[in-house]
Amino acid sequence: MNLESELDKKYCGFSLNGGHYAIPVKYVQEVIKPQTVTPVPLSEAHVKGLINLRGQIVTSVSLRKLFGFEANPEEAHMNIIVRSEDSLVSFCVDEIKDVFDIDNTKIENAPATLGGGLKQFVNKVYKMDQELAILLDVEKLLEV
Amino acid sequence: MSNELLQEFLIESFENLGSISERITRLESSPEDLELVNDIYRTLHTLKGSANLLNFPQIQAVAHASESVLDFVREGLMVVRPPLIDGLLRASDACLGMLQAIEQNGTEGNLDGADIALEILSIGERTLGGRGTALPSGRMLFHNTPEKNIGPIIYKEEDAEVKDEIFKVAGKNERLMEEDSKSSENIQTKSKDKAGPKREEVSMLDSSTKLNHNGAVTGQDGGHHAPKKTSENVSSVADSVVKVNVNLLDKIMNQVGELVLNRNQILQFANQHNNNDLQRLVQQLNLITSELQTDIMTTRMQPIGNVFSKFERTIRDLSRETGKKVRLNASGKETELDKTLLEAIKDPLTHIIRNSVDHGIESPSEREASGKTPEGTVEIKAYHESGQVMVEVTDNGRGLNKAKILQKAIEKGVISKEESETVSDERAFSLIFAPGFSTAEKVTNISGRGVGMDVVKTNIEKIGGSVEVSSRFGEGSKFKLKIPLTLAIVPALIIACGDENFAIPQNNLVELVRHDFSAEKDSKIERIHDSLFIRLREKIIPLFFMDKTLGLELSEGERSELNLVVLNAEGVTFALVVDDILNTEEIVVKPFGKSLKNQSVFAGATIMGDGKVALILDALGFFKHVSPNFEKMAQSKEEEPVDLSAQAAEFQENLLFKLKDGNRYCLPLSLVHRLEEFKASDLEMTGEQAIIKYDERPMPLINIEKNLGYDGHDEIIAPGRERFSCLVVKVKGQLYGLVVEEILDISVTEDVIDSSAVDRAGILGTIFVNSGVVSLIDPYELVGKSMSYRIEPETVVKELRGKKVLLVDDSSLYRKMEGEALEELGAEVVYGKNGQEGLERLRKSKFDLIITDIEMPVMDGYSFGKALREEFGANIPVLALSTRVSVVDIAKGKESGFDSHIEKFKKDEMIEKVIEMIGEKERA
Repeated sequence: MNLESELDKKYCGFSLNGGHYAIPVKYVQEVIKPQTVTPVPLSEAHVKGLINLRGQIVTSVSLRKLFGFEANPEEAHMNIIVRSEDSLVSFCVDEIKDVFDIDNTKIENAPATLGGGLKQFVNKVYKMDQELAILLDVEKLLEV
Repeated sequence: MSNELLQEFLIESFENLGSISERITRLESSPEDLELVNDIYRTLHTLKGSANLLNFPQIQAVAHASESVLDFVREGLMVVRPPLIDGLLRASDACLGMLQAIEQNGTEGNLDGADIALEILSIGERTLGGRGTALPSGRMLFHNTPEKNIGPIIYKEEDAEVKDEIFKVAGKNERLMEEDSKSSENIQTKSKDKAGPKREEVSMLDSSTKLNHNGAVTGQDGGHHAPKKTSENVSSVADSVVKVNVNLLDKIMNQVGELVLNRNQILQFANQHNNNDLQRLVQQLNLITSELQTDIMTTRMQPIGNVFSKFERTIRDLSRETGKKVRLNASGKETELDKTLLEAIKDPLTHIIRNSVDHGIESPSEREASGKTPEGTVEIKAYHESGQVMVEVTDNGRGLNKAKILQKAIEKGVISKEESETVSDERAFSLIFAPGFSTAEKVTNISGRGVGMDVVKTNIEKIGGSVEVSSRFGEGSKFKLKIPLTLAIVPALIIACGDENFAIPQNNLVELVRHDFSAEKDSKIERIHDSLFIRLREKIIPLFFMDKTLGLELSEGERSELNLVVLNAEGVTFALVVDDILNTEEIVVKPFGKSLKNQSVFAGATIMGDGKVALILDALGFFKHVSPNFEKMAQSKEEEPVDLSAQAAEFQENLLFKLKDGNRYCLPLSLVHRLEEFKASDLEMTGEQAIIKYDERPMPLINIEKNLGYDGHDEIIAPGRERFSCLVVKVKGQLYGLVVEEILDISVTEDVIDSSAVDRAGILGTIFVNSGVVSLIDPYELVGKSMSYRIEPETVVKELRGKKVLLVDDSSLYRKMEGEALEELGAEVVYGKNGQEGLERLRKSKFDLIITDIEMPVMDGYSFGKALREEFGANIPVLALSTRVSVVDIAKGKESGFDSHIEKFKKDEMIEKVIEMIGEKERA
């Protein structure tokens, strides 16, 4: 098995509004602590603003806002920096969880009843030992 | 053939040939310069040798032929003449073309080297023809098929002389091959000698030397090309030059950028910790980093002379083509610009120069006729000014013809005829930058090829520059390009607003104004409905509060003064109120990610010294955001507007008055019955309605401010006033008093009523009066609004009862005014907005009388008259109303079928006429 498909199997887990989510590790550049955000007036609600990541400007996107969840009391959030073509996007999540290898047999289609704002970004769900992890479609997330 | 060798060959040859055309052109002006001849000869010789080594026979043939001809010059058998120069230039072009083909697909391409070689040789032959000197190579022919690279040289004549030549050539080539293989390790160093930055490469030099195009390394003296320098001379400096890939440089730039930010953070950190050692180290780091940053930036800088040198050739070719005599003067060649920018201005600059020669410079005879020297000059000048590089292209040709430009602009629909009458020279000249504009009467292949100056403008603006043109008819024109020093770094003004800092590019900035409320007593800021304007030196500029517009945290407390930033974007000037003006800074523009691409208010972001991200305001985007009808407004000028209160400009008199909000308003004078002044004590109240006794009848008074919905004007008369002024208007047969603060003046305007800024009922639109904007009040609407109190109108004889009148007028105000008067007399009035609508109404029902305006969109009164007479005969009386009633107008009216033609706004006269005309018709 080559390295690439090995990496494809790895997912980065995080929590958001009490739910467990995951995105493929291959998209993730790094995970960083909360940063000073410069808000962009007149931008869409889910765009938190811009952060300076070692001299690169990164657009910070609040997944809570994007999925239509209540805004976090926001004492602490983490930023997952994701590569998007030539630019970087930071997804604000509540907490970072483990990176795990995925077992293809445990992947299932997302239930049709999934909530409105979230639905379009969900690829599949993954049955973990304790709970379900929602696998997000990063490409779609990057399109917003 | 090894790929590396081929690459090396290409790089070297491109570099050598890069400057050859300039050298050849120079040779033309100084034909005696043997050193120059030798220099060109050497270049061609090297090319021939390498081409032979790598088996590119066509290049070899062309280079060989050129070399041979030059040999005659060297031996004094021939003098340099224009045909020779032409031939050499064509040859060098052909070689360049073939080299490009090799670079792209490995073969020399379709160019026929043999033809060119023959042509050059024939130049030599013609010159030497009579002398019978053996010109063996003149008989060379090439066997050429499209697929196959041409084989070795085939001789037509099999005589001994020629055979000798074959051997000579072969021998020479062998020697060359030897030479070349020997020196193959040296190629690298050699190419550095003459090599300038080409394609992806720039050279880095040690700090004592400056870069220049041909790679000829010179000291600070700015001496450009170094053809006269001996090769030893050059090679000594060459050791200090290394070629570096631009991509690598870019990467280093980025790294340094990160280092700078890191340094900033460390600086901040060090400031928080009072440690002397740390401070000292940080200071050192600070210095080194700054220096490193500057040095890296300079590696990308190249002298603008690189671009200028190409123009020698451009001008020469053009002047030969057009039969004009043109000399190029270039100065400021050493002015340095970022490499990317240099590339970007090359084409626009070429276009401007072509334009100057083609359109600007006259033919020699024409020049002499107007007392000029037969030879025209085109001058290119580059210099630094206020942090930008200026490039001026000046010609002493015929200059721009304003009348011709305007005529063309009207033809192309760039400008309206009315506009063209008042337009300034400056604005008229700038029209040449409008898309699709070209004043050349016939399309030449030089300029005027459809792509015009608009492309120049767009390209220059794309890199953050600007282009201006000034001209004196008959004396010449000047194009001035302003170009930022580097692409990514922009000088910007940093301002604070809300809790954030913003950067505004300096090139949008017009001025900074501090507006003091207390001192000026608010006199300079004007409010027109909900829009704010500021008066700046008699100009009215829209004003916006940045915090409010962008939904930022509003700054607290009353402002005693305002910080205004006046911006200009594509001709739109507006002022922005910001919290604080901080400083100017060179900022690095970083584009937005995808999720922010679709917003237009900001052009990007930048990282400030403290590591915080600041947004860069896009002035034009901002203006489009605050006035979304900006584009609509621009569009509606072209399209047929739907229903503005007055389409065609009509001259009218307005009564100017002031209301309690301190602003000026006006009312068409024709609607004003009388002006009166009353005592405040005579005012009576009936419920909510204020009444005053006027002409022995009660007259309702109207609080204009309240009816317009302005806050804080519940009192009809300001408390404490003893007397107040009233405009008495007659609406629906009833007199009303409009209470005003002060009656100012009567103004005569011919301005179109602009209804685009109307935000409430009761206001018809705005007009310009004495360079100020004034709102036009609609009394009908106001009266309608305050109909809480009704009085039976005085009884009038309903002389027109049962009569049906068609009233055609494009102005809703006059429709209303004239209509009311007719309805008062019991007539049934049907309205139309223009002649077309009038005809439609006529088709549907029968009328006793038609009243029409003259100036109307779609179909004017005259056409309407003619059309209705044709369709409905002569039975219906037609009355025309117009602001202009001259003998000519009346004659034209008669011709159009009008029965009568009277002056507009004279209500009583109109009524009289209507009654008379209807009576006549009934009698008939």
